[in-house]
Formats: sequence, structure tokens, C-alpha cells
Amino acid sequence: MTPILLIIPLAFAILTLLLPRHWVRAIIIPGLVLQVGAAVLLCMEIYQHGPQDYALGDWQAPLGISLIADGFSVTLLALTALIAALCAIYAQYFLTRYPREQRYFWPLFWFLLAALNGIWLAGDLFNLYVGLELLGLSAVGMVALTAEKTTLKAALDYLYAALFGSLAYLAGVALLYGAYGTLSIAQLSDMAAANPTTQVALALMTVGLLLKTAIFPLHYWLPPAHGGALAPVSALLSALVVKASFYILALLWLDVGALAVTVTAAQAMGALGAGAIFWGSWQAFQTRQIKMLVAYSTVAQLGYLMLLFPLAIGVSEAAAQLAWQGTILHLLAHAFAKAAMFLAVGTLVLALGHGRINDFGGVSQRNPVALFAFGLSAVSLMGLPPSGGFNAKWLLLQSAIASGQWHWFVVMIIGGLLTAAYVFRVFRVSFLQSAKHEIQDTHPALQLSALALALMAIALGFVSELPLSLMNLTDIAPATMGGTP
Amino acid sequence: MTALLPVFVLATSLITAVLIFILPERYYRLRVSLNLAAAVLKIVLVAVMIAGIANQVDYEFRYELLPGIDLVLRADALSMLFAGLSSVLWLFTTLYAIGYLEGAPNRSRFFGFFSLCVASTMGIALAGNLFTFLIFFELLTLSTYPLVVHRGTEESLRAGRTYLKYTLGGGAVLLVGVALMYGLVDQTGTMTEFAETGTLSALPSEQHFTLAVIFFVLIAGLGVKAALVPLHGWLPVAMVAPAPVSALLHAVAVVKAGAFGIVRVIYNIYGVEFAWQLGVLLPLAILASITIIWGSLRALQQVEMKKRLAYSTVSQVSYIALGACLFGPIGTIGGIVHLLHQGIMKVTLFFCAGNYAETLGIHKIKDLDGVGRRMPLTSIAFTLGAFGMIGVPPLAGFISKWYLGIGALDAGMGWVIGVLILSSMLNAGYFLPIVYRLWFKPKQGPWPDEHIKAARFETHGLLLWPTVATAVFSLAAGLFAAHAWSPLSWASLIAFREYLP
Amino acid sequence: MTLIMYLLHHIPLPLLVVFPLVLACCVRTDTARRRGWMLIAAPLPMLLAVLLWYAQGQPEFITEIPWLMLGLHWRFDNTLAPILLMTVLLWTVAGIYVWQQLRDNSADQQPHIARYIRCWLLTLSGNIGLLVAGDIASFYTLFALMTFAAFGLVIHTQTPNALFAGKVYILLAVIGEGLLLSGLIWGAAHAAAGELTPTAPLISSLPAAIAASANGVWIALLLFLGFGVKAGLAGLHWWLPLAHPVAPTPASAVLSGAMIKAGLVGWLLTLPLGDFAAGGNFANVASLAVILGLIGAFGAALMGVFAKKAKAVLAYSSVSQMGMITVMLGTGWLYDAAWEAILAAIVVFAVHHGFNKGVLFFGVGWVSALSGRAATLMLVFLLIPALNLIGVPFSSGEYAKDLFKHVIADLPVGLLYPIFSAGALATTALMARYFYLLRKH
Repeated sequence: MTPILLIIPLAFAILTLLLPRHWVRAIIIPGLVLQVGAAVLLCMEIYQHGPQDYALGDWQAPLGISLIADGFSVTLLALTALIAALCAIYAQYFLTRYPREQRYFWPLFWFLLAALNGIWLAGDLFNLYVGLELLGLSAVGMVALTAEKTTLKAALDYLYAALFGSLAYLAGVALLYGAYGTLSIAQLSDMAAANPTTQVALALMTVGLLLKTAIFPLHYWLPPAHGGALAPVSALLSALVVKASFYILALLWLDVGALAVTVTAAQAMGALGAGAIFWGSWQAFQTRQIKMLVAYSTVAQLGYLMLLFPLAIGVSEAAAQLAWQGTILHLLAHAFAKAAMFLAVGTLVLALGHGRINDFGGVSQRNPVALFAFGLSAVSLMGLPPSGGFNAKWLLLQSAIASGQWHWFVVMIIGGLLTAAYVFRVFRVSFLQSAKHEIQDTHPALQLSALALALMAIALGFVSELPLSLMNLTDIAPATMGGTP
Repeated sequence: MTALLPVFVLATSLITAVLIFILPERYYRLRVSLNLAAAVLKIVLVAVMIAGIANQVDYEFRYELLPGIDLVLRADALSMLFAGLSSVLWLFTTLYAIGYLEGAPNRSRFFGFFSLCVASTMGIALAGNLFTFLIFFELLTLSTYPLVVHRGTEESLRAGRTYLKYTLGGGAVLLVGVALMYGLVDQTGTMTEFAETGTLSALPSEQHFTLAVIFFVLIAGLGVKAALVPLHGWLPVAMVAPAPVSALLHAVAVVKAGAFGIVRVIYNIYGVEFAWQLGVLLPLAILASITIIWGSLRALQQVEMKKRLAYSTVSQVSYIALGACLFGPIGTIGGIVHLLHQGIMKVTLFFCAGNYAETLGIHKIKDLDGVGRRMPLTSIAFTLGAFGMIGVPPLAGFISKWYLGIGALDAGMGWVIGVLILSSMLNAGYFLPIVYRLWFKPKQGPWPDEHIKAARFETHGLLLWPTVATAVFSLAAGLFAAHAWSPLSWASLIAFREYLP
Repeated sequence: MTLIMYLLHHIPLPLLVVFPLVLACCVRTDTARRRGWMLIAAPLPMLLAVLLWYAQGQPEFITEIPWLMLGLHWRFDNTLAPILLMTVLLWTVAGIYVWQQLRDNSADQQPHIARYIRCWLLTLSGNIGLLVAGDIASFYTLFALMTFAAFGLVIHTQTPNALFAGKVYILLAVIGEGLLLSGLIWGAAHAAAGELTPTAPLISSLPAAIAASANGVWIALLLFLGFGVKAGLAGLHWWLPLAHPVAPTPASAVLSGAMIKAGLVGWLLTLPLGDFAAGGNFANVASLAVILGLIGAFGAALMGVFAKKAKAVLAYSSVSQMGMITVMLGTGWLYDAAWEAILAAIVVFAVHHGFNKGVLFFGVGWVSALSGRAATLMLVFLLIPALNLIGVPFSSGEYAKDLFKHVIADLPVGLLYPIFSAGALATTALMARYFYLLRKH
């Protein structure tokens, strides 16, 4: 069952490359259905039978390619399938104005999915590297789709960042392999000790991944890339792609290198996160372009993910578990909400013909659904109830209380208010009655797919139990995370 | 069925909100009938539940939201007081709003958020634990913002910004308080159930300081919406909203939610006896008293009708907090019953202000000269509301003050009477001149901007009759106070259940 | 007759009080001028009921409606019955006066007739109602109704003077209501101590509760001052000489004759007098009453002789007369054993003053409407109430004062006796001024 999730996207990637244009359109829906169906089936299987290992071609570790489907990875698989499906539906209607870009969008889209699924399922560090490379390249390709001057520049920056990040990561992998002779995550987590080699390797990989995840202050490439790409691309990048490198980072710190990381280092990671929250929010508050606002919002929101490290390392088991659960929920909620937000904003920009926030007057009358989707996703981003974002924030707050780390508590509370500050900029002007320019109607599918994603972010507030109980089926159980004294 | 009834009550306005959002702007009739049908249905459901509560039926709906944390919708006597107020006023404000907004743009959005706002207050009323309360409290902030800025003018946007600053800030503080409560005191989530009163008193005395701190954090969070001085700044500014919104905000939705939360924290989380032992009630009582006097003093200075009413709300709502701080059943009754009494009286006053503005274009108090003759029914309603606020019998406000005063003496806080009387006199100071202008001053020149000519009635029927109805309520609530089905009797029931376990 | 008896016992008292309110609702702006009869009709049911009750030999007569307000308890009170009768009669006569004015159109052609009639009916309802209300809440309700509605009577003419008088009136009234309410709540809290829900206690339970309270003196002081505003207590009397000259003549008559007595009734009902004052707990407040009463009695007379209008003179006279009543009350309060006798004297004095002062006020209107010989005859007729007030031998005034003087003859208040007699001189001076001003007119 497990490999199918790699095979489907790869197969469709090649198909869309080869088939003529009108065929490409025709196979989108079947592909999505297959992909979502497979993810759901795998979820149910894991839910019933527990985590599964799968050795590709029956080659066992340390040499072979092993795929691990545990609670965490299937959750992310399902998330990926869902968001990708809705983005694809959106893209179908959105790209009608971009015939040339459409040609390349679909192959890249499927490659991107394959890379993501590969990362979620990978059982060793090298597979993760392969996934990262594929992901980076397809993502850069998607950013560069429109081939305008600014987007090309952004894509180039992104490319350099991705390459440098991969390089740093690869160097770390090599060091670890040299020291321990294996790349299997499961084996490394037992073996890796707190020696300089491990720590240097981890440091290298961390820097690379921080760059790829666009964590402050290495976020410079993200806003132009995410803000400049086409709406469905931005949605995919912000919702999923950056999460992949964070996922690897979390694996490294809490599983592979659990014995090697120190509390100080974890606190430093948290400090980066806090910096991201404040800096990203401030920039989002300052910018004039709506898409840049959303992109900077991603920078800020990624900061919350970084709080996982200080909250989960060197604390009691209960606190670590809360931090872990909170982070998962935040990852999911942000993915839904940010995808929804980019899609909604894309629709609004399409309708208005520009992205200047201060000229958004009157948009609420012509595109209420898109604006409403924006609003709902904003609720989750601000961490207001009822939403997945709120539940995530709640768990993180509880974790901070449980471990007595009041500084992170304060950071999160202020972060929520800062989010509100920049999000409500958009609402404020959208309530203005007068429209300065003509506003076009947009296809309902565009508005509705954004709304669907936003509703999922809200609904996550009511079904948080589901991913959290799936999470318990992981072999990176929280119990092993709080190891370092 | 008993588990689902609270959900249905909530759903009547929540689903209505969704349907209204979906309905295109032009389906005027469908929207109106939908809205009114839902409002009536809600009143029926609430009535059924009130009858059930009186007979000790337990209505509880529980759903696990996070590990160890439940979403609880639970109806008890106190929640039904608030739910009853909210459902009745929903009907009247909706009727009023239909008349008020006739022909205005964006009605679909308005009524959608209006219903959502009522759904939030319903949720606040029915919340069965602190966590659920927090959820709906924040939802209320979100659903009222679009109503405050509804007009879309620069001024209303500015007001909206102030409103957000205060309420989101307050929401964050409340979140801190609730998170601390769960994280430091009540990891199991049982002590923050409203049904379990006074369990905190079992905690060891080392934790008492923590509990006192959390108490004030919670009050600070709730105090923004309850407009306790110095957190009241948003309220007068939010007056730019359309009249039915102001009415709803002041009478049942926002300020009341804050006051209701304070009552919940004192009675259902800490337990009034324990709170008294902690010594947190006296500071709150003093703060509430300061608010009462300060609000009245500021109201005296206002020249605009709605601003004056707004400051009056600042003052009046704190009676509820004050009553909650009076340890003893009678003070409790006074505070709780004022929750309802203030609601019906204030909604009347805002309806009247809206009628004057919509019919004659009058916004300033000085333009009210001689209006009594042109709009007698509205002016009678205003007079009743104003006298009720002053605390003149037999209106509802007198009953509140009577019980608050006796309750204060019971609790050994005789100085509160001084506050009550001083406030009454200040109330008289800012309401009587208006009443005087209405009835005793001759008309000065033409009306500022007469939109609606006097035909069969003095103004549009949908503006007039809700006003008259709520005025009659404020009279009846006082006149029949001792009746078994009066708000006062219901408040007594709540107090008995609180004090006699 | 049996039917009437049946009605008397089964029609609840509140209907008699609400009847004027119902009439008030039926007044319309366009036809108000033809509704003068309402003012006569409004007090009639109550008048009938009181007379029948007297005819029956004053049986116990109580209406209880537990679900109205905080529990309604109304009754005919034996002690207050004479004041009630006087009040109803005075309102009826004043009503006739207004009706005639409206019918003849001789009244100053003012607008706002409808408002005038409505306020009149509301005030009337409050005034007669508070005399039968036996629970605190409804008593206070009707007291407030009377107070606020009378504002409309005071400022009816809308002249600058009237508006100013109205301002002073409402200011003092609000202060009075505040003092009153705090006193009532404070007292009621003691009366209802130990009960979980205080439905308003009976007003008759207040004196005992106040006497038993540790803070009784303060409660008594609040109530004394609160009612004192209405009773024209020296220091709180400022509205009287301002309001009476500007109000329409019949309104002045009821203000001074009947409504001013409402304050006295409040004192009699709520203060811990008689047995409750035994032990001298309230000697301070009682002494204050005597002092303020004396200041009122003579100070007002002094001010009155310099007044420029006949009705102002009468107003000062009212303050002066109420001062005497206050002295009587204070004396009775100090010497609890003599209270029963003094109470009788106070009631007689109140009734006597109400009637005579009422007639003197009407006189102002009558004289100004007449001329020549008729006016002179009217002046002669007005000598009767004037002499009554002064208390010449064989007058109602002499009777009332004698009642009091007999009591104090046995008390160790030797100084009071001559002082009280000197009050007659003060009244004489005021009456002289009154006639002087009338004649000049």
C-alpha cells in the first residue's frame, strides 16, 4: 500500500509531461481522486494496524530504501492530498488565463507531490535528501512559471537558497554516515551520542534546513517567492513545501539527535522562532501588497513551529507531549489556513486586478465568499476559537505553563495579537463602501475551493482528537523526546 | 433530547447565520421570514428549557475537543436568564433592524453577522465550562466587528479599530487567565465546570495566591467587554454603529457577555463564599463602584444622545459586577436580575435614540426640544427607560437597586448604598434634562432632517413597536416583580441554588 | 346599600388609585379643554370609599396582591384617615376649580392643557395612593410619582420664573428621593434581616427595625431629611416659595394643602416615634427636628412678610406652619410617653392647615377674578381661614394648638409654651401681609 503513494504522483507527473494538452486537463480529476483515496486508505490501515515499515525492493536497512508509514506521516500524507486536491481544482480554473504556464504547471505539481510524499514516508536521511532536492527543484520551477522579471529573480534566489540548504544538509548526512555507518533514522536515534561529530553534523543540517524552511533570519527568499508566484503555487509552497524541511528538522532534533541536542540550543531555536514571529508580523503589518502580507504571515507562523524545540526538549514528559501535539496541530491548521488564504487572496487580486491593500474598498460586495474564506482562515491564524489554530495555541500555551517557560507563553500571546493587527488591516479596508476601480466577478469554483480549505482549518478545531490520536501511533513517540537532561 | 436541546438553541441562530450568508442580497422576503422564524423558534426552545430547568431537568451536551478538554453546553438557571434575554431581544432587535435598514446596502452581511452575534451570546449563556465560555467569548468579538464597522465610513472604521484593540486585547488577557487556570490549577478540567461550584476552595492554601492572581487576570479579560473603568474606552466610540447594533451590544451582546462572565467566574468557578474568603471581591466591588460613578459623570458631559447612553451603559453594567461581589443571596439576586433589567431598559433607550435619529434626524440632545408631541409613544418609552435607569419605581431599575442596596447591607458593605444613591442622582442629572426637553420644551424650528413623515403612527411601525414592547417589558418587570414568573423570581431561584446546595 | 358594601370590600384599593391614571391615558391633545370633568371624577371613587369606610365605623380594610411589585399591601390607616379625607376633598375641590376655569375659558389661555391635566391626574394618583400604601415599595413608588408629576404643575406656565422654580424643585426633589431611598433601603434591610428574599417589608415594620438597629439614628436622620424636602423643612424648603407663586392657583392649593402633608405622613409612618423612641436613642434627631421646626416657624414668617406676591406669602406661611408641626413632632419624639396625644394634635393640625391653606390659595384666584364690591366681600370671606390659621378663639387653629399645649403643659419644656404662642403672632403678621397684597391687587 505504502509505495503507491509515491507511484501515483510520479506516474501522473510523467503522463502530464507526455500527453497532449487536452488530455492533461482530463486526467487531473482522476489523479486527484486516486491520490486522495490512497492516502485515506493508508490512514485507515495505519489506524487499524499500527505503523508499518516497507522496504523498497526488499532491500533492508542500512542499505535499502525503507519507507515508514506511521501516524505522523500518514497525517501529513492525508493533509498533502487534501490541500493539493483543492489547490488543483483551484488551479484548473485559475490557469485558464495562463495557457503557457498551464503546460508546465501540472508536471511540476505532480513532481512536487511525489517529493512531499517521499519525504513524509522516508525512513532514512538520504531518502530525505533526495526528496528535498526534488521538492526544491519543482518548487523553484513553479515559482518561475510566469517567467516575469521579478518572479525569475525570486525563483533564482529561491534556487540558491534551496541548493545551499541541500548542500549543508548533505554534508551533515555524510558526517553522520562516516561516524555511524548508517542513515536509518531508527538506528541513528539509538546510536547517535552527544559527541562533536554528531553535533557538527546536526548543526550543518540544521542550518541547511532553517534556510529551506525560511526561518528568521534566513527567510529573505520566501516573501518574494511566495508572494510573487501564482496563487495556487503560493498556496502549495506556503502550506506544504516549507513544512517538509521543518518535518526533517523535527526528526533530527527530537528523534535522530535526541541525545545530542542541548537545552541551550533548543532555546536558541525558540529565539529564532520568536524573532520570526515578531519580524514576520511587523513586515506583514507594513507591506502594501496583499500577497506579500500573506507571505510574511507565513514567515511569522513558521516561528511558532520553532517553539517546538524549547518546549519539548529538556522538559517533563507531559509538557513535551503537549508541545508536540500543539506543533502538529499548528502545522495542520496553518497548512489549511494559509492555503485558503493564498487562494482567497488570489481570487481577490484577480477580481480587482491589483493587490494594493489600501484600494480594497468595495471588494466585500462583489466577492463576499473569497473574503469570508480569508476571514475564516485568519481566525485560525490569529489563534482565535473555534479553529485548529486556537487548539494548537492552547496546547502550546499549556505546554509552556507545564514547563514553566513563561517567556514563550508571552511570545505566543503577543504573537496572536500581532497577527490580528495585520490581518484586520485587510478587513478594515474591505468594509469601505466605495470601490475605486471596477471589480470583476470571479468563477465560483475559485471562491469555493478557498472556502473549503478555510472551513477545514476551522473544522480542525472540532476534530483535533483525530490527528492527535493518529499521532500516538508514531514510533517517534513523545516518550523518547524528553531524553536530554 | 435533553442533551441536544442546548445544541438546537444554539443552532437556530447559527444555521440562520449561515443561510443568510448564502442567500443573495435580493432575496429580501425569504431572508426576513427565515430570520424571524428562527427567532421565534429560539424563543420557544428557550421557553421549553426554562420550564425544564424550573423542574430540575438537566440539559447537557458534551463533546471532547482536545484531550481532557470538553466543549460543554449546559443549561442552568443562570444561563437561561441570559439566554432568555438574548432570545427575546434578538426577535425585537431583528424586527427593529429590518425597519431601520430598509433599503440600505449589505443587509445580507448585516443580518448574517447579527445572527452570528446572537449565536455567540447563546453560546456564552450555555457554556458549561470556562473553556467553552472562552470560545464563544472570542467568537462574539469576531462577529460583532463587522456590525460595528457596518456603515463603512472612515469614522466607523476608526471605531472598529478601537473596538478591536480593546476586545482582542481583552480576549488575549482572558486567554491567559483561562490557560493559567487549566495549566496551574485544574489540569483535569473538572474544577472549571460551571456545574461544580466551589471546588476550588478544596485546594491547599499555598495555591490561594495563585488563585487570586488568576481571578484578577480573568476579571481584567472580561472587564474589557464589561467596560469596567479603565477598560471602557471602546464603548463610547463604538456608538457609530447602526442603532440596532448599539442596542444589541449594550443590552445583551458584548457588555453583557463581559458582565455575565464576571458573574460566572465569581459564582460558578470560585464560588462566592470562597472568593469572599480570598478577599478578591472587595477590590472588584470598589472598581465596579468607581466605574458606576465615573460612567455617570462622563455621561453628564455628553451632548450626543448615543454617547450619553453609552456612558450610561458603562455605569449601569457595573451594577451587575457590584451585585456579584456582595456576599449574600440578596445582593446576588440584585446583580443577576440587573443583568436582565438593564438589558431591556437599555435596549429601549437605544431604540428610542434610533427612532429620533431615523425619523427626525436628531442626534444631539439639544435638538430634542418638544419631540414628545411629535413622537409621543417613543418619548413615553424613553421616559420609562430613563426613569427605570434612575431607579424610580415601579420600573425594573428600582427592583435592582432595592436588592443591591439591601444585599450590600447584608454583606456588611453599607457604603455601597452611597454609591447607588449617588449614581441614581447622577442618572437623574443626565436623564431628566432629556425627559424635560421631550415633554416640556417647545419645539425649536424645523427638525434637523425629517426622513419619515408622521402618518398613521409617528414613525415606521417596525421602529415603533419593538420600542414600545421593550418599554412595556421594563415596566412589567418592575410592576410584577413579585410574580412567580418574573425575572426577579428567576434570579431568586438562581441565588437559592447557589447558596442552598 | 348591600351592593355598595360588597363593592367596598371586594374592589381592591389599587383600582381607586389607578383610576386617575386610566383617565390620564384617555386625555388627547385636541380635546383636552373639554376634559376638565376628569379632574373632579378622578378622586371621587376614593372619596366615596373613604366616606363609606367611615360610615362603617372604620373596619380593618386591607388589600393584598402578593405578585404586584414587591408584594402589595394597601390599607386604610386609622391614624392617617383624616389626612386622607382632607387630601381627597382638597383635590376634588381643586379639580372643580380647574374644571370651571377650563369651561369658562377664563383661565389664562395657555397651551399644554393636555399635559397639565395628565400631570394633575398623575400627581393626584400618587398623593392619594401613598396614603393607603402599606408596603415600602409601593409607598415609595407613589411618593415618587407624585414628586415627579408635580413638576409639570410647577412649570405649567412656562414663564422664566416658573422654569427656574421647576429647576430648584426637581433638584431638591431628586436629593430628597435619594436620601429617602437610602433611608428606606437601610431600614428595610433591617426589617427584612434573615429573610432570603426581601419582598418589600411593610412600612409599619420600619420604626421597630430602625429602633432596633445600631445605626438607627442615621437611618432616622436620612428619612427625616428625605421627607423633610417635601414637608418644607427649614433648609430644604427653598422650592416652596419659588414654586407656589408661579404654579396655577389650584395647583398651588393642592401643593401646599395636600402634597406638603405627604412629607409629614412619611415621617409619621417611618420614624421610630412613641414607644420606639423610649430610652432617648433618637434624642439627637428629635432635638434637630425641634430646632429646625422653630427656625422654620419663625424664619419663614420673617421672610414671608417681605414677600412680593400673595402666593409667596402663603408659601412662607406653609413653611412656617409645617415648622410648627415639626416642633410638635420633635417634642413628641423626645417625650415618648406624650406621643399618642401629640400625634392626635399633629393630625388635627395637619387637616386644619390643609383646608384653610387651600381656601386661602383659592382666594388669590377668586379675588383676582372679581372686582369692586364682590372682591371686598371675598376678602371678608377669606378672613375666616386666615383667622383659623392664626388660631383665634373658637377656631380650628385654636383647637389644634390647644391639643398640643395641653400636652406640653405637663412636660418639662417650659420655654416651648410661650414660643409656640408667639407662632400665632408670626402667622398674624403673614396674614396681614397676605391681605395687604390682595387688596393692592
